Amino acid sequence: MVDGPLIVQSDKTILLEVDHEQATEARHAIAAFAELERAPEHVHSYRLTPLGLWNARAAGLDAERVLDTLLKYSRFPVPHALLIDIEDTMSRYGRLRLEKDPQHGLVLRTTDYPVLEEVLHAKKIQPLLGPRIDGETVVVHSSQRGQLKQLLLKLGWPAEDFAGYVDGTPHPIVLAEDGWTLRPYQKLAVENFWAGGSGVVVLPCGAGKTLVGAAAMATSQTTTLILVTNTVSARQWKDELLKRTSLTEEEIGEYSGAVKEVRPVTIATYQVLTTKRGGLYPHLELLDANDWGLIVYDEVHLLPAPIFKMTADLQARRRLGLTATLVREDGREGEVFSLIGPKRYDAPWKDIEAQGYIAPADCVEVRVDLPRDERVAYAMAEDGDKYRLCATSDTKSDVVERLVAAHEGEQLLVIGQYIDQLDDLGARLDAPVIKGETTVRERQRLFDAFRSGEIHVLVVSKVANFSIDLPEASVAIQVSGSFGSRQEEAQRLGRLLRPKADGRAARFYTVVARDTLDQDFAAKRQRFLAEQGYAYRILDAASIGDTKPSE
Amino acid sequence: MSAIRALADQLARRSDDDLRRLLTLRPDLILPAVPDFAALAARASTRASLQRALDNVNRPELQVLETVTVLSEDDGGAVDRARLAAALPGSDGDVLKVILSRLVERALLAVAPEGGLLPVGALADALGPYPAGLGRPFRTLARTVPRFGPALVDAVPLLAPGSSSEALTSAAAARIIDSITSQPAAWQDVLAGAPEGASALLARLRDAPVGSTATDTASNGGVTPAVRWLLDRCLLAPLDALHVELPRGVGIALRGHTVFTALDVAPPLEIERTTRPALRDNASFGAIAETLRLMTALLGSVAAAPVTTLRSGGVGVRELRRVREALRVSEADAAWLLELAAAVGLLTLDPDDSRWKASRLDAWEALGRDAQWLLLVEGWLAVDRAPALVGSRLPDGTGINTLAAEASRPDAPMVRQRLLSVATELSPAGGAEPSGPQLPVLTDQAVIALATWHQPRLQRRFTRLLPGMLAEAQSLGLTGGGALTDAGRLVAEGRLEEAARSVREALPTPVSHVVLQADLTAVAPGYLEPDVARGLLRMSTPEGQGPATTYRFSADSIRGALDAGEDAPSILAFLALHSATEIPQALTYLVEDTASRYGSLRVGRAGSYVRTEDDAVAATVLADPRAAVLGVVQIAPTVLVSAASPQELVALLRDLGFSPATDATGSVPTTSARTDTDREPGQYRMPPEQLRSRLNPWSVAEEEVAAQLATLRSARPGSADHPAASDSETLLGLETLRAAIRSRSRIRLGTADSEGNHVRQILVPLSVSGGRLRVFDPENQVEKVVSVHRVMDVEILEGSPSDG
Repeated sequence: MVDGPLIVQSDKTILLEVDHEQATEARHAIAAFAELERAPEHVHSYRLTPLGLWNARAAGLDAERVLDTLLKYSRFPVPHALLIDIEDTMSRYGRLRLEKDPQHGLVLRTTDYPVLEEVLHAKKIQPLLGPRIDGETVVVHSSQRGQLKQLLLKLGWPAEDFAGYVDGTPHPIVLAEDGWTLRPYQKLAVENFWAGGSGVVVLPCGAGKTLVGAAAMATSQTTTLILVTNTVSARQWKDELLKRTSLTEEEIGEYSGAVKEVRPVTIATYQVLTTKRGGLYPHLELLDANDWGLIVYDEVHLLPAPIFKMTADLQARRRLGLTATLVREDGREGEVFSLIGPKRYDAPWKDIEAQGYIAPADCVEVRVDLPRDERVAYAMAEDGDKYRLCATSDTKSDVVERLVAAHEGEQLLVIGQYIDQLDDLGARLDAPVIKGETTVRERQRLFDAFRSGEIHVLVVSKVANFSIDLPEASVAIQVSGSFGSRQEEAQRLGRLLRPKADGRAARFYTVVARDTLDQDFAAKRQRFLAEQGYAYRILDAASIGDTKPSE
Repeated sequence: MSAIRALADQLARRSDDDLRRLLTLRPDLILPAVPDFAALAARASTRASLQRALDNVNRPELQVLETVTVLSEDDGGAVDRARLAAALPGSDGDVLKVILSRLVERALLAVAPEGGLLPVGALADALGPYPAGLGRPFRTLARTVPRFGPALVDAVPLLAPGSSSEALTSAAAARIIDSITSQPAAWQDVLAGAPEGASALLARLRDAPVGSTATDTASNGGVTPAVRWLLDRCLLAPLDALHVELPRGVGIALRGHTVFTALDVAPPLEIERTTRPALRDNASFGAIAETLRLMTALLGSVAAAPVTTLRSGGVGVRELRRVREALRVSEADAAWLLELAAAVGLLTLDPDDSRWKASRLDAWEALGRDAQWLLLVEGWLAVDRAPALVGSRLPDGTGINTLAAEASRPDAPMVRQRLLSVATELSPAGGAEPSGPQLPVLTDQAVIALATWHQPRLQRRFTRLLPGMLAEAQSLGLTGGGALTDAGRLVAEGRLEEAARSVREALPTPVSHVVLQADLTAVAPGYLEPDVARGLLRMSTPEGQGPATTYRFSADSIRGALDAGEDAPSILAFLALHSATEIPQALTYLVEDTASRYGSLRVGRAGSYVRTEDDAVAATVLADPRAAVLGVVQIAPTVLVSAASPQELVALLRDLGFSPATDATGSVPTTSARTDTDREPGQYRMPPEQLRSRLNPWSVAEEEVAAQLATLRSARPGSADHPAASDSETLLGLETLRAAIRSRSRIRLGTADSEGNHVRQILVPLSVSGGRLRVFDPENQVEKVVSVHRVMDVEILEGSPSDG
C-alpha cells in the first residue's frame, strides 16, 4: 500500500494531510473535482459532490483520471462503492448536448438514445421541446435554453452547452497595466473562463475578483453588463474600472435606485433588477437594452432567486460569475451550475495567502462575563430577546474600549448588528458610525477619510459586510453578528484580508458574552474560521490588560 | 431376486476402496451405522437417501440418470448402453462410460446381470414426476387424467388413418400412439397436418411439460384451432380448463426422438466482464477494513443499548433503524452486520429479557485485525442462516426480520462452500501482480450457472441464496470488485490461517496518534489502536465514515469525560501523549473552561437525609459507629445523608437520644432500577482463543468409514437373506409392493388388525406413499387404505395382472 497523503472516506469526503510531502501535488490533483470543505491547520477535508464531478467533466477530466488520482494518492483502499459512484456520476455529464443545428436551430442531441427517451418522458421537460428530428435529436425552443438546462440538472443528466454565444456589440476595452500587472492566478482564471465560454471563478475575498472581471471584459471587447450587490459596490466597480482599464467616465453607466444610465458598460444592482411593481419587473428591459457581449455577476453566492429566472433567458450571452465561495446558504448551487456555468477556476485561500497576495489573519475570541444583574435579566428574558440582551451587554463596550486602546494607531473597524450599541460605541470611542441611514455620499466620504488615515476608528453596521474596499483596516472588532452565518464571517474577514503595506497579520476580535447564546454562535464561528485555516485563540476579557494582545 | 438383494450382493462384491469411496460420497448411508450389506443396500434405495445423493450429481450425470429412468420406465427393464447412447446424442462413448461408472460407484445405478443399467430403488420417485423435463407417459395419463383414456381410443383413427378404434382398450391405444410418436416417419406425417400455431405451442412445452393455454384462447373464448387439433389427437393431455401436459412420447419426439438434445458435458465457464488486480485489491481491503470498523462500531453501540427482539421473533424495524442510524449504513447492511455478529457469537441473545447483547466486546477488541477477520469469515462459513434473506417477503406478504427464524437455512454452509468452489473454478490461478492480466468478475449469473451445472437439483436454492452470499463474500473481502481475491482463494481451499496472514500483510498497521486541530477536532489518520480510540471516545464525539475517524470535542463531550472521573490535567495529558502535534490553544481553553465550570451543582443518590441547624449534632451522629452501618456521610456542615430508608435512620437517631422529626415533603426514592451500565466492565470477559466459530460441514470421519467397513465385512455372508430386525425388511416389503403396483399384480397381504391378529387378504395395490398403502379389494369391490406399519408380509401372486 502506498503511503499517500489522502484518506478517502466512504462518506464521500477526502482527507488531505497537509504536512505530507506529496500534499501539494495531491491538492492540485483533487482540487479539480472535489470541493474544499474544511482547511484547518493539519488535515484538510474535501467533499465529492455530483456538481464537483460535473465541474471536472466540464474542465475535460474523465472518470478514469479521477479514479487514478484517488488510487494513486490514497493511503488506504478507496471504498469500492465510491469509485463506482464516481464513474456513474461522471458518465452522466455530457450525454446530452445542446447544439446549434444549421437547419433546425437549437437542438438537444444525445449519444445515448435511452437517456433522451427518459428526458422526453419527464413531464416538466416536454413543453420546452419542439419536434423530434431523429432518434438522437430533438428541437429546443431557443427561449427555453436556460430552463431546460436547469431541469436536466435536476434530473441528473446535466447537458453540455455547445450552442455558442451571440457576439454582442463590439466595444474596445484595454487593461491599463501601468505600474501593476495581472497576477498569474487572475490571468489563469480569465483564460479558463474564456476557454469554457461561461462559468464561475472562485477567488477568496481580497484576491482581486474585480480585476478578473475587468480582464474578462478586455478579452471580450464587447459591451458589458455588470450585476453587483449594492450601490456602494457599484461605485467601487466603477472606480476600479476607471483606474485599471481604458474606459472613461462616459463609457460607464450606473443603473441603480438613484441613477439609471445605460452605457456600453453598465453596472446594475441586483436590487433594482428585482424591484417589482404591480407584479412586473419594470427594469427588466435593461437586460435587452443593449446587445451585451458579456454579463458579469458579482458575488454569485448571493444572487437572488429572481435573477436566476432572468438569467435563464440570457443563455445566449457569455456569463462570468465571481464569488468567494460556491456554498450558498439556500443550497441553490445547482442553479448556479446550470444557469451561469460550471466552475472555471478555483484557488484555495491558503494558496493565495502563501503567495503573499492576501494578508494572514489572526482570530481572537474575547470572552466577557456578564455581571450578575445582566445574567439574571438574560435568564428571565423571552427567547426572542435573549440574543440582543447578551450581545449588547455594557461589559462588551468596556472590552472594546480596552482593545481599541491596545491597538492605538492602527486602522480599526468596529462591527456590530444593533444600532443602539453602535451609536453608544461611536460616542465612547469618539468615532463616526456608518449604518443603514447614512447617505451614500456620507459613507463614501467616511471611507475615503478612513483610507487616507484621517480617521483611525470606524464603527460600521452590517451595511459594510459586502464589497467595500477598506484595504488599510488591520484590526476588526466584532461585537454582535447575525447568528453566526458563515457568509457574514467570510465577508467580515474579507474586509481585513487585503494585503497590508508592512505585511502585518490582520487581527479579528470577537467579543462574546460567556454562557449565553452569544457563546453558542461563537462556537459555530470558531469552527468555521478554524476550518478555513485561521489561527484561533480564546482569551478571557480580564487578561487583555496584562498580556499585550498584539503579541 | 429382489433389486435390493441384488444391490446388496453387488455392494458386498466391491473392494474396500470402492466401498470407502461410496460411503464418503454418501455419508448418510452409515449415519447411523448399518449391520450388514442388505441394510446398506436398503438404505441406499430409500427415497430420502437417493434425494440427498441426487443433490450432489452434476448436470451430465443427472441427464444420464434421468435418461436411464425414462428408458427403463418405458419397458420396466434394464437399459443397455447402446440404447442409452442413442437417447443422448452427442455423448462421447468414453465420457458416457466415465459418467456411468461414477453413477454406479455411488449406487445410483445398478448393473443388471445381463449388463444393462437399472435405476436403484426409489430413484424414479426421487427424480419426481417429470424426469428430464418430460411429461408422463400416455398410459399413466390414461389412468390418472379423467376422460383421457377414452380420448386416446378416439385419437387412434385420427393419428393412424385406416386403423379403427373398435374394441380397443385405453392401454392398447396408448401403446399404438406411443409407437406412432416413436417412429420419426410416422411422427412427421402427423405433424404435417398440424394447423398454424401448433408447432409453436409444442416447442414451448418441449422443456416444461405442463403449461397453460391461456394465451392460446381464441377470440370467441374457446381454444384456438391449434390447441383443439392437438387435444383431439391426444398430443396434449388436458389437466383442467387452462392447463395441459405434453405426454412423454410427444416430448421425446419433439426432441428429435432423444431424451436430451445434447449431453451438457462442459461446465459453463464464460465470463462477461473483467477487472484489474489493483482495483480488486483496493476494493477487497477497503471492504475488510470497513467491515471490521463497522463491526466494532456495532458492538460498541449494542453494548451501550442492547437490541430488543419482537415477540414474534427477530429484530424489529424500529430497532434496526436505531442500529442503522448509529452506524450510518443502509438497512440491509445493518441487518447483515447484526446477523454476522450473531453468527460469530459476538452478539448473544439473553434469554432472560430477549435482548441481543454484545457480550464479548473486550475479547473482540483484544484480537488483532487479521484474527477479527478470520473469526468473521469462519463464522460466516459455518452459520446456518442466510442473512441476505432478511427483508425479503414471505409468501404471506410479511417481511423476514433480522435474526428471525425465517432466515434459517440449514444448507447455507453447503451453498457457501459451493460458491467458493465455483468462484475458484471461474477464476484462473495466478495474476497477483497489480499490472497483471484482467481478472474475471464473478457475476450472479455466471456463479449461479456454474453452481447449477454442478448441482442441478439445487437450482432454486442457488438462485435464491447465491446473489446474497456473493455480496456477503464481497463485504468480507473474499471478492473485490467482483473478482476472487487471494485471501478468497485461500479460504476456498480451506487454508484459513494463510488467508488471515495475507490479510494481515495487506491491512495497514494501526496508528496510535491523532492530529489535533484548532477547529476542535482530532483526526486519526488510519485505524486507531483500540485503547486510544476508547480514550478519545470518552471525551469526544466521532464523525465521518471510512478508514479515518474525526473526533470532535465540545463542552458536552468534555463533560462526559469529567463525568467518567477525568479532570482537566488528565484529559490534557492524554491528548498530549497521543497527539502528533501541539494541543491548540482553543482546545486547551475548552477543556480548562469546561472543567472549571464542572460541578457547580452536584447530584447524588441517597435513601434519607438529616438536616440540622447545629453542626455539632451532625458531628455526634457521624461519630457513632452505628452511623457507619447505615452509610451516613456528611455532604455539608449541617446536612447528612444515608443510604438507608428514613425509618431506619429515625430509629437510629432515637437510639442515640435525639428526637428527630420526619420531613413530609421532599422524599427521595429509595430504590431505582439497576441499569446495564451498572455492570462491572469485563464481567463477560472471555479469553480470545475461545472466540472461534466452529466449522461444521456435514461429513463423516475416516475412522467412522473404516469401522463401518469392518462391521460390514464381519457380518455373516448368509445374513443378507435373513436380515434381522433391520429396516431392510420393511424396504423389501415396500419394494415388493411397488413392483406389484407397477405390474398391477394381485398380492397376498398379511397385516396385523387392530387386535393384533394376523390377517391375510388378496388385494390389488394401487399406490404407496406417506406411510399409507392404497389397495383395491377385488372381492368387495372397494378401495381401502392400509397403514404400512401394519403390513407383516407381502407376496406377489405371480402371473395375475388385475386387468386386461
